Amino acid sequence: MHRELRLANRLAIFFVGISVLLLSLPLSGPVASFKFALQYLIEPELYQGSIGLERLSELPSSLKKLLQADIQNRSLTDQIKMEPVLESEIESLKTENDRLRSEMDLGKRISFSFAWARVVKRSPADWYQDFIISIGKNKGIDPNDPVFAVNGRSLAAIGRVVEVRSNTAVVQLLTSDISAVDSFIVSQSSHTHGAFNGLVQGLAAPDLQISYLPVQAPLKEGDKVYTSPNSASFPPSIFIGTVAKVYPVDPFLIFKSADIRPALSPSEINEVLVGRGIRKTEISR
Amino acid sequence: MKLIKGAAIFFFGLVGEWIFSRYLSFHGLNPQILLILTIGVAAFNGTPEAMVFGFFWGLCWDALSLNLFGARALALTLVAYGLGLVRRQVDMVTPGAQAIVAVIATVLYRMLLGFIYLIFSGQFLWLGWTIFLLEPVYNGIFCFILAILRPNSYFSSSRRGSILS
Repeated sequence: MHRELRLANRLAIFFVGISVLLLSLPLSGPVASFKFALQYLIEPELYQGSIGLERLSELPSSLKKLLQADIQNRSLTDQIKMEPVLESEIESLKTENDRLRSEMDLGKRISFSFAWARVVKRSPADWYQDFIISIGKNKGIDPNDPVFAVNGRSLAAIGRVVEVRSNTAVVQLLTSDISAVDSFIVSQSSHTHGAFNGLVQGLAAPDLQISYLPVQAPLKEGDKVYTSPNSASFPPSIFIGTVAKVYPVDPFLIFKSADIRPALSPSEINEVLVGRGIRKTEISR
Repeated sequence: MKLIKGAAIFFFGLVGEWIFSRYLSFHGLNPQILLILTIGVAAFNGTPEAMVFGFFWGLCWDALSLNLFGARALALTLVAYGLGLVRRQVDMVTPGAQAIVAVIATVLYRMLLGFIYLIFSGQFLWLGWTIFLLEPVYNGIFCFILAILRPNSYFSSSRRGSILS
């Protein structure tokens, strides 16, 4: 018994010493990396939040990339799992929309498909006017097809097809000075909430201009502008940009105007989505 | 052979702790498998062996979790040492005695962990009154059941001698 007690005392001193040493000393980079990697294997959820991401910053770049890829993979897998739910929700909304349209005698809903394209050529002289995309007749593109770009998680209208070749097409940007699109602006004024129709025109400059807004429209910076249901080329309610500057009302004019900052500047656009079939559907309608 | 059995107990202890903490946690309450097994080792195999198991279990669990590195190792080592002192006064082999020891050891273990966090990270580790009050009871019941179910296990078969002896 005494032997056991002596051994226990020695072990206690030894283990307590090691534990206190481990608790006192900061972990070196490789040890910390090894610990984080082990933790990730056991509890990957701990790395999903901001604290987890901070911890990842301490890891060597190769391991960090691997773990970040896994985190992204988990997040995307979760999103994919939600896809059937969203699809069924969309289908149910489409059905409801069709039923209401038919009851209101509004005709069939405009539907079209998308085709991805890359921007293959742009000219510095016509930076705000147009660019050439990598698809044309070969993918069923027609003149006046609307062109969009992905802005975060939503679509933004950026222009329309004006010339179609066999494998390429020319896209005229909304910023072009010969471009105009019917639109509406959603006022977020604290006094009045409402939407006002206007015409967005290009200026061959970074910003657009919206005109023909009612004088009483309570606009302010940050208000959002969308394509109008009356637009000939674009489907309704596609984001165009936000109000950057509201001009004072000119007493000689009967409308108000404002500068619009486009959702995406031409410099930010590398890939686009071309909406196919909208013209055909409209003509048949 | 004893070393292999010891390694198996060590491994299954860690797996058990992981499974219970991850999948069988009830409102944050789960039995402290490593603590219960440390009590078992102390009861049947002696204090030194319980200290070795407790230290390395704690160290491994610290490495696998976001705990302060070395905190559980220190807490389990000290609990095992304390159990050694109690073992000389109380017969810890019966399930009832082990359950009571588990209740008291859980309270001490939580307090120790709290103070270790207070000293080394500046904040007392407090998981709330529910866990503080219910965890010892839960551990006691779990320890009692485990003590009843293990008559022919590693613990009782190795009463004749310790791994360290």
